[in-house]
This record gives sequence, C-alpha cells and structure tokens, in this order.
Amino acid sequence: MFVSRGDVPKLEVQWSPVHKNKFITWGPDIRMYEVINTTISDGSKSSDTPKGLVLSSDTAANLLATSTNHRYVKCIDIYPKPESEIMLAIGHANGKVTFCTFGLATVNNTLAGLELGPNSRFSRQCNAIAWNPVNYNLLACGLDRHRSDQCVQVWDVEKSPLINAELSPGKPFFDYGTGETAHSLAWFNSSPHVLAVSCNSKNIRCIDIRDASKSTNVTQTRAVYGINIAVYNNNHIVSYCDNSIVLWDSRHLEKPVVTLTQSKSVSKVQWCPTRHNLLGSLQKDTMAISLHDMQQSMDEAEPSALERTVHPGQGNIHLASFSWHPTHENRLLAISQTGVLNDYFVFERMTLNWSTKSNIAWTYGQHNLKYISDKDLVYSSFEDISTTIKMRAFSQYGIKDFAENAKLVDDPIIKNVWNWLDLNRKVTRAGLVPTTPNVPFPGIKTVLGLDSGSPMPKSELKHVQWVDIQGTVKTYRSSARDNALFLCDWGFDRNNALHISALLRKLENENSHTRAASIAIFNFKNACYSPDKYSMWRELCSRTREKLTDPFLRAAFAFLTSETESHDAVLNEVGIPLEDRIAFASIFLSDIKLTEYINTITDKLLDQGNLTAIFLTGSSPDVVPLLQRYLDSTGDIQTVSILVLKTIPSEIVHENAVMMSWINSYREMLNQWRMWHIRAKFDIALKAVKPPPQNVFLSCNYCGKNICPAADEKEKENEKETKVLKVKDQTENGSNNFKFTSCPNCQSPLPRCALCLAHLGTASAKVPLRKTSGKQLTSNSSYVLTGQSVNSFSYWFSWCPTCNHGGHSNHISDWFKNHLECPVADCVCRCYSLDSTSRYCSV
Amino acid sequence: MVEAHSINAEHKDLIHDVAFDYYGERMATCSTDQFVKVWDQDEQGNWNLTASWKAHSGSVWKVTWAHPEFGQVIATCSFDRTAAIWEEIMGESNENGTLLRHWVRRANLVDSRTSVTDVKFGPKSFGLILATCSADGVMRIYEAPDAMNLAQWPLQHEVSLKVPSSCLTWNPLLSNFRTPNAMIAVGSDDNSNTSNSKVFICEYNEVSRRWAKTESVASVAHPVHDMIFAPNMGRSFYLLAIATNNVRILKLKPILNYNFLHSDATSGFPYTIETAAQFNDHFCTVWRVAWNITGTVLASSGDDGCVRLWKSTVDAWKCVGVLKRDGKLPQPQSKKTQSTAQNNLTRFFKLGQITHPSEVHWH
Repeated sequence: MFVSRGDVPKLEVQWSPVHKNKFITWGPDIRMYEVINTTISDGSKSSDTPKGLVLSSDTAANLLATSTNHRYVKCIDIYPKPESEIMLAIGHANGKVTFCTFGLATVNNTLAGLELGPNSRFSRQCNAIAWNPVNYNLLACGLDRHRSDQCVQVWDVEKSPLINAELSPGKPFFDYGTGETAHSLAWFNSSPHVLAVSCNSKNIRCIDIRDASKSTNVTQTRAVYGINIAVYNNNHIVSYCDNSIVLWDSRHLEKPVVTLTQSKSVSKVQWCPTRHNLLGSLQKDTMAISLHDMQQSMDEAEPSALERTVHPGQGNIHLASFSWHPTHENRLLAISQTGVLNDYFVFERMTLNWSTKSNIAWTYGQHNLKYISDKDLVYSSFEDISTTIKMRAFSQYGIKDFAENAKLVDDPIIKNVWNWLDLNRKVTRAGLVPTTPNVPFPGIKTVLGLDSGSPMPKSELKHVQWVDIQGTVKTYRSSARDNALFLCDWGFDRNNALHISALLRKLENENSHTRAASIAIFNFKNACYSPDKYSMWRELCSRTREKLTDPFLRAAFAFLTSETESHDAVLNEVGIPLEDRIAFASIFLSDIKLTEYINTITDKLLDQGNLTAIFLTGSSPDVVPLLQRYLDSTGDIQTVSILVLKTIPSEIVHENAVMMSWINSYREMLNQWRMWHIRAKFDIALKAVKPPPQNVFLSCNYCGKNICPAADEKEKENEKETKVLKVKDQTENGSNNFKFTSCPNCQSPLPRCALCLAHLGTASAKVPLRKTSGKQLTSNSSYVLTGQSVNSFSYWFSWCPTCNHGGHSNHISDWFKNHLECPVADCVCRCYSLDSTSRYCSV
Repeated sequence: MVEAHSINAEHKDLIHDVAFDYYGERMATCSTDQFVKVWDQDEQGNWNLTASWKAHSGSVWKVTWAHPEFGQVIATCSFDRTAAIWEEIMGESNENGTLLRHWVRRANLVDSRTSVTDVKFGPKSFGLILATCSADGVMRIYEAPDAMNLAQWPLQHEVSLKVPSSCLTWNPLLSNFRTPNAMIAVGSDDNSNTSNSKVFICEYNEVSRRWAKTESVASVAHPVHDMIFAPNMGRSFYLLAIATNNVRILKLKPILNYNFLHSDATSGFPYTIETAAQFNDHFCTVWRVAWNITGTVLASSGDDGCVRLWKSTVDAWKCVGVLKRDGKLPQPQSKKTQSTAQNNLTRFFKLGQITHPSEVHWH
C-alpha cells in the first residue's frame, strides 16, 4: 500500500487497521508502539516523567517491539483481520515478501517467519504491498519489471500450497501484467475483487482478479504513485506524481476529475477514513500537511478543493510521513524526518458568530453547535461592556435623574460624575454660579474663564495668619475662584466657622474622617501643634508621610510641612478626589499657576479619556473630545449618550453630527435588544426624533375627503389653534354633538367593524372627556384631538393594509387570538401574521 | 466543569456558517450538505429548529440576515456559483391550528461563473442592498429597488479584484456625516502568492456613481478566511477584524480636521490604516472572527480548536477568555489563581483535556 521511492531509507508511519492504539514505524528498523493516554495519571505528572515517547499533550507511545532483521524494506502493510495480533507483510528490495509478528507468533498465526516466494531467479524490487480489506487472506504485491514476469501477484496466504517454507516457491493465486512494472496498488473496499494498479509510469488500471481479461478501466497518466481509494466513496481514487495530485473517479477513469497542483513535489497522499472528501497530502521538505476538502456540486462544474494546512509538531520540523487513524475522527500521526512522532487532531474549521443578544455560537465537529450566552457564568469573565449597558438600561439608567443615575452604576468615576452634575445643578439653580444657555453645566474651566482664552480675572492676594504660629500663607480670592469652589463642593464661607464645622460633621458622618481632617487643615481651623515643636514635628511628619496610606492624610501632612510656596505634593496627590485638589488649587495657587495647573490636569485627563474631566469642562464644547476619548477606550456608548442628553441643550445636540451618531448608535442598540419602551423614553427625553409627518390618512369612501379633522388642522398651520378650540368647544358643550360615525364632509356613514358590525367611530364608545382648558392646549394638539374624538385605543380604527378589512382594534385583536384568517367572509388574508416583527414584544 | 449548551445541528456534513438575525432571536446555519436551517430561540433560551431546506446544489458557504424592516429575509451563497434570496412566508396551518412557516426562494443571483464565497446585506440606511464576492475575484453589488419585491435584484456594480475572494464585510456606517461613502472590505484566501495584499477596501464614489477598489492593505499577506468590521458605536475610528494566519485587528482612523461636510465626495474619506492588534495564539490558521454588539470584544476560532476572546483595554488588546471547541468551559477563576495571575494579563483557562499538542504553549 505504501511505496518508498528513492534509495535513501525514509521513515514511514502507519496506524494499525485493527488495533486502535497501536501503530508501526519503519525506516532502518521496524518498531511497534502502543499509544497510552497520559492525562489519566495527571495527578502524578510532576513526580513521574511520562513514560515512552510523548506524542501530544495527552498521549504517549510505548515501544512494544523492534524488529531489526528486516533489511531493504520497501513497503509494509498490516494484516487487517480483526482481533488478530499485529502482523506485517513486508515487501523487500529483492522482491521477497516476509511476515513479521515481532516474535509474538501465536498458534493461529503460522505465517510468521515465512517468505512468499516471488519465484524469480533474479531479484526485483517489491514496490507495493496491500492486504485485501475484506478477504483477509489475499495479499497483493506490486513488483518491478523483470523480463516477462508478472508485475502483480496476489497470494492467498491461507491456502497452504502457497506457503512454502523456502523449499519450493509457491504459485500466486493470481498474477497479472507480464513484463510490466507495478508502482502502486490498492484494493477497492466495496468490490474487494478489484485492484487498482499503476503500471509502467504511464497508466492506472482497475483489474478484476476473477477475470483479468476484463480489465477495461484504464487511463493514461504519469501520476502513478501512491494510489489510494477513499473509504467513504469507493469511486474516488487519488494518485500523485511530482507536483500534481490527481483525483480519479473509477466510473470515469478516462480523465481525471481534478488535478491539484502543489508547489513542491508530493511524497504522500491519503484519504481521511473518517471524513467525506477529505484528502491529506504531504510535500517533500515541508513542515505542514495539506488538507484538501473536495467540493463537488451537482452540476457539471469542476470540483475544487478547499485547501488548508496543518502543522503537527509545531511547524518547525520537516515531516517524513503521516497516517490517518482508521477510526478516530480526524486524527493523524505524523513522523518527522528525524523520527519525532506527533499525534495530531485535525479540527474541523470552526465557524462562529456573536449575536446581539450576547449568544456566542460555534460549531463543534461536523454536526454540533455549541453556544454560551450572557446568562452563563463564564460570559462575565469577558467583561463585555454590553452586558453592563444592558443591565443599566433595564434599571432605567439615564431616564432617571442625576443622583439616581449615580446610584445605578458601580463604576466610581461615573458615579462621581453624576453626583457632581447633581451638585452643579444645585449651585447653578441656587444662582451661586452663573450659567449661560449654551452651557447649562459650567465646568471649573468655564467659571474660571479659561475656556474663552481671555485671561483669568485678577485675584486678590491675601496673607492669612496662622492661628497658633507665626507666619503667613498666601491665599487668593476672586469671584471666579469662589464659583470654582462652589463647583467643588467647597462653597462654604471660609471665614465662617459654622459652615466649615457643618461640612466637617457631614463628612464625619460619612466616615470620611481623613477627608474632613485635611479639609479642616487646608482651611486653617485646626492647627494642632505648638510653634516650638514646629521644625521637629515637620521633620517627623515628612518621614511618616511616606508611610501613610490615606491620601488625605498624606496631603494634609504635606501641606503642613511644606516650606516653600509649592503645593505640588497636594496637587499631585492622585488619591484625593479631583474636586478637592482643584478647590485647594483655587485657594492657594496664583493666577498663573492655577491656569497652568488646570490646563495640565485637563490635558492629562482628556488624554486618559477619564470622565472626571467633565468637572473641568462642564457641558462646554470641550466635553465632546473628552466623551469621544472615553468612548474610544471603553465603548460605553450609553453613558456618553446619556451625558450628552442630560447636559447639553438639545438644539446643540441636534446640530452636532458626532453627538447624533452617538445617540443613534445607542438607540440602535436598544432597538436590537428590543428595549423599545426604554428607547422611546430616551427619545422623548431628547426629542431625538422629530415627530414624523402624518403618514396615514383616513379618507371617506364616498367623498374622498379626509375624515379626520385633526389631520386637516395639522396641514393648515395658521388656523390650527382656533379650529382646535372650536372643535373642542363643540364636544364639550355636547349641544352640537360631534358624531364620528359619519364623514364630517358628506355625512356618509363610516365603514362597519367586521366583527361587531357597528359603524366605526361608534358614539356609544365615548367616555367622558377629561377637562382640558384651552390654555394647556399645546402645539402638539393632534394628540389631544384624537383623545377626544375617539376615546380609547380599543375603539380606534384598525385595518389590515393587505386586505383592507378591519374594525375596532380590540375586536380585531380578540379575533386573532384564536384565528389565523381575516374575519371577513371569503377573505383568507392572514392579516395578523404578516408583520414578522410583531411576533416580538418589547423587553 | 461548566459546559456550553449543545445543539445537534442535524446537518449531514460540515457547517460553514452560523448567522444571527438583528435581534439575536433567530439563527441560520448552512452546510456542505447543501441545506440551510433556521433556528428560533424560545423564552428559556433554547434553540429550536423551525425550518430546513435544500437551498443549493453545492456546499452552502454563507448565510446572512437582512434587517427585519425588510421582512424575514436571508441570503445564501454557494459553491454552485449562485447566491439566493429567501423569504419566510406563512404557509398552511396544520391540524393543530399552528401556522407553518416556510422559506421560498425569491431570487437567484447567477452572475458569478465561480463559487460565490460570501454574501452580506448592506447597512439598512442604504436600502435593500447586497454584496457578494466570488472565487474569481469579483465583488458584486445587487440592489432591490423595491423593498416589497424581493424577486428583483438587478446587478448594480461589479468590481474585479483579480484574486480569489473569500469574504467581505460592510463598514456599518450609521451616520452619513462621518463617512460619506459606503465601504466594503474584501478578503482573499489565495495561497499561491504570499507577497500580495489579501485585504482590499472598496468604496462607492458618489460622483462617478461607481464602486472601485481604493486601497490594498499591504500588511496582510497571508490568506484571509474571514473579516468583519466592528459595530462603530460612535467611536472615532473603525475596527476591522481579520482571520488570517493570526488574528489581526486593523484600525481605520479618519483623518481629523477634515471637513467632511464640505469636501468633495470624489475621493471618499481620508483615513489611515494601522494594525491595532495581532495575536498568534491560535498558533496556525484562524477561521472566523465575530464582534460583540458594542465592538469591544472579539471572538475568534482557529486551528487550535479554541474560541478565543479579545478585549480592548485602554492601552492594548488582551485575551480575556478561551473556550474549548467541545464547550468545556473554564470554571470561574478561583481567588488563588487570580492572585497568582496578576502579572499575567492573559487569562488562560485550562479546560479539561487538551487534545492538541500545540495549544498549551502559546499564550
């Protein structure tokens, strides 16, 4: 079955067709191995070095036997009879065929040690040898040419006459091909009396050993090596020559089905026995095995192969040969030119996809799908932001107010942002900090006037006396700085001890003792040391400062112990919330330094995409790059959209393409999750979509005029207000009863409901109107009007746009709970099933 | 050990594609057995087979859903050189009174002379538009002028890329402001030549009203098996994931300070292409890639038989999970391993038996 070309003894490998865990290799000697599973003894892995040859991470091979007394081995095939011991038929360079059982000869195995006598007087090479896969007693040998001797011999090893211990050579059961050379041969599984043989470097024949004269199936080809017949489809024959792999169909042997040209010369081809149409091939001096997945179509199109390569042995050693496992799916054993073995599992191409509902599905093998969803525990380990967004959306995040939003998120930064916005609104509403219509939420930069590029208003310098010690500290004040302090929640009167102690008490209640302490220290109300110990104490503090873990304490000590005007240790103390640091800066830093500090920290936070920077930018246009940066790094489209929605005036948002694309992305995501109610609330909050123009009109069957007066009003914008009022008066007075069962123009009756047979717009369906005064009537008056003329949704018109039948909507939906077809006689319209999206409801 | 849910796909041969619809409620699969199957998810999250039919006379490579606005419509493409449009319609009700749905072929697109390797619907904003690519390297754009008539799909454009094409992906543009032109990336699995580019960008030119190849990405030279643009989600750049000899993520960044509104639309929008990430963890061939809904996590499958997940963090992309193909899932990490693995950004979950020699050493 296997052919060895050239004179250099090469390594070959072959799985036993009988034993699932045994294989042989041969080269200079023949070895038999047994595969063992190493994962079972996983626990003792560390102590025991794995026995035998490691084939893969969980298999190893034990050498069972070696046979060195066979020289000039040209080809080997393993006896395929089930439940027999491994027995090899070995074809030699001198044409002899011997049998080898690695000395394990049993009683019923009498062939061991025998030689089949190619009775030629001159030795000629045995090129190929193959056991019959069905009639185990038949062994085919392909031999080199010698004068007029037959090149194919089939021996029946069970017929004793054929076995002749060296004395008199037996006669083959069948022979064929006088004076020719056989290069390779293979039996057909489905018709075990037929043998495919390649001869004389120019043809392939199918020979019926029952009657060799019937050999009509012949094709002329140079591809005569390595004939292999597919297990699944016995019509598929493959052979190779040089760079070509040629595929044949035994039914139409005249011309090749397809020729696959390879870049290097081919050294082996073998059909995968466990998979349809999969062919493995090996090229000389390559590190990969090529797999050809043959594709055939019903029509006459030439089949083609899906090519892929696999790299058993990590792709860094040249392979000598490989062998498919006869039964294990897609398993192959590869041997390198240096004899390294690799047990490899060829995975089927896996396709995968990820649904908008957070299902990941992939294929497993040929027939199975696997999937996981966000309900599975493992999904959480991917830290998929979309699941977080979904959870927040469910909890009405963004629809609620600032403080509520802060409670709904775990992320401290986002939480902080919402709390700050809440504070911002409080101080701006209270009029403590001025706002502009375009920037309803001013940031620190805005109030300090750093946005506009104009210089900050000059501040008043003040030297503050320490309470208990001699010495002063420079502080600065200006109205802009005061505003900034308000935005940092330091908006207390620093000269009023009551204010400060109120704040401190609050912080202490929140268990923020250190923050309280540092704030107190920064505000000079709590100097707890005496002047004479000052220098020593300072020294002590700066040393302990390094050991302090609490940033507030660290900053407080740094502040107390700093000798110069520099407050860098406080300003760069990242553990302190940004607002406290800014507040500190706006008290102690000079105008120039403050500007510099604010700009530096803004740039830094912007670069990080840190949302905290919103303290600085507020809702000024600067916030857009910040949000973009945050979005780019986190993908949190939700928080970005909601921040835009909540902080930026909607006129500005609508003008800005970038912000609209964020909002639309988020709306699209809510749509995909079928969170339509939440999206609708979001739309309302934003006025994200302009009210769509009316796209359905009801016109009277008789006069053709619009029967909905409201629609008329809408068209005549100027007259709207008055007419609406008029209609309303009529209905409220009840004197001029507004009957809606007939066309307002021609008084013809409206169509009847297909179910109750009453005219649509039935007056009796009216319920008492809610009192609405004319003043409350907004421009959005069509809603009010429909609310009056047809009182509730149940009595609204409803009809099928396909068959045009309809009725009261509640009657219709009742009907379709139990019926498929339209309630009108003879109408087979499946009105209710037509719209596929209606099968889903909002979540 | 946690297990992934399993579905017996009942296909008789290798499954080539799995596609979810817009809502993620329906799933379509296609296979070498020439069949297409549709699955619906019930309230418990189980997938139930609701339709199965022989769609082509060759392997069906890809299946894709149209936006539900256009009805329940899928497109398939096949080795039999055709692409097809299918629509679900209401059939007769059976004895139980339940409605039978079935899929009918609305159109057969027969322009290709070779295997049609991919088919994808365009973004909804472009209407009912479809792109295909084929083994002879032609990208075709079809458009249904009337969304109500799915039988009419006139061929609108052909772009010859001259190399066998294996996959395509639309840039999922949401707003027309940022990128005025429609964009498609096409990949090639040509393995005869390892020097040429295997990724091409095609754009629609508003002025000439033609599609044309505008860019070849030189950095990708190995055969490309799958590509997908990430959902944009408001990001200032576009991410293109590529399955080739490794997992590649390209970042298409529009050049800033460019006035899109007032630029002439002839040249498309200028952008730079850079490689954002590249992972060799699959060791060999990578077959498929897929993004989550926000485009923040990428899943890839490869020859090592694993599904690997990649997430972008502030400074880099990192592996956040590995799923074995047989669905043996990692146990949630115990505290002990978390503390020891802190230095290691990659979380690798060892998942039961590893049958592959190469997959352990490469993370």
